Amino acid sequence: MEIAKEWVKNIFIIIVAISFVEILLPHGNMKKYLKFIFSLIIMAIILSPLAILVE
Amino acid sequence: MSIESIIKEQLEAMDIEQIEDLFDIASRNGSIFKDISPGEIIQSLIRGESIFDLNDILGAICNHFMHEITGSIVLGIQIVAICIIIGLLKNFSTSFSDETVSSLGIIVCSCCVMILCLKVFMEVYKICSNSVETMTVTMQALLPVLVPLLIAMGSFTSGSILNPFIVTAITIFNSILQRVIMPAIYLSCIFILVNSLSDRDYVKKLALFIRGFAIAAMGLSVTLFSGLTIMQGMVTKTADGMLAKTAKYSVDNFVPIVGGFAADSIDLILSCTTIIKNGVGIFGLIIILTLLIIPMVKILAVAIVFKLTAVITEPISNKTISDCLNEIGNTVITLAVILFLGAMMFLIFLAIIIGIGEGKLWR
Repeated sequence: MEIAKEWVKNIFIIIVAISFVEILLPHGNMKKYLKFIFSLIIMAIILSPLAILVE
Repeated sequence: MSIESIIKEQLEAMDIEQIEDLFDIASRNGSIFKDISPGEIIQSLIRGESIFDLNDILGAICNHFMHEITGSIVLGIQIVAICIIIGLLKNFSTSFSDETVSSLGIIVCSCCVMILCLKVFMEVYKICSNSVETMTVTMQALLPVLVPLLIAMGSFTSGSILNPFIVTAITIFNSILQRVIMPAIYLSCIFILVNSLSDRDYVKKLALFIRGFAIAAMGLSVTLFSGLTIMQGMVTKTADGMLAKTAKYSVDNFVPIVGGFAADSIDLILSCTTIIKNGVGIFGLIIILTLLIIPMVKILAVAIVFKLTAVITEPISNKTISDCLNEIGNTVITLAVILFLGAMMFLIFLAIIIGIGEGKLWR
């Protein structure tokens, strides 16, 4: 139960933060690469309970 | 000795005040049935009158529904107001030098919508959880009254096997519902809300997956528990029928001269017990129905408000918000479905107990 709580909290905070940061990014070449990196971060957070299972 | 006087004597010897208290608890949030007690139900069962008036009940449900709709329409108006601001901000984005300012404004407005939705969803969730809890308590209080009655009318096997079985099923079901299924729906609601913040879908599939999992788990546990109980009920009913017939046959034939009269009077007293058991059982059904219908009307009213708001905000605000409102409407309806399935299972349990030892057993 605690793990699930932590997981949901992380996903929530990360997505809220990323949607704010995405808007504040300067327009330019780097924007799309940064967006890709953000998506990678969210994927990693969603997959994080798997790490506990593997251990 | 008439049937009514026998039943009155038996009722006076029983302790049914605890169940009458339960009815008060159940109708705390408003009731669609007028005040009714197990004694009155049994009286009307004997006389063959109907226990309640259908028109009254339909009218009460309609009134309650309109009341709940007017109660939750405030939420809809607030959300529509915020969405109009979002529409304005979208149009102003060209007049600002930078698009960032209006985007930030839109996301802050989305956060406001999110908080409003979460507040209402929390309320609905609490109502649903309370209702399930009260249903469980009702069942746990009804069984100790019903089972001695079952045994008193000769269904020894049913009484001794079904009681622990149903109590176990109810307790396990309640904890599965409160610990796994309802939190899962809550999670899916949070994911849907957070998904509405950005234009891209980050966790939409995850939210839908969790909701699907909750519905599947619910269906599985209801099927399992009610199926097992129905099977158990059938088996014990047959065993009891054998036992009862043997008892009556031996009194009739092995007791000389008065045996026939004795067997007939046993028959009469036992069928009186059956009437009392059915009266108490029907009273339990009424409590469970009250606990089902009142929250159900409230939840469906909130769901309709969410859906209507989604329809209204579609032209003026951005796509993500109206999608999110629509999905939250679906989630609220899922809560209603889960409440309905839970109540259905409790109704099945009571119906099995009422069905045991129906008249033909003693003929």
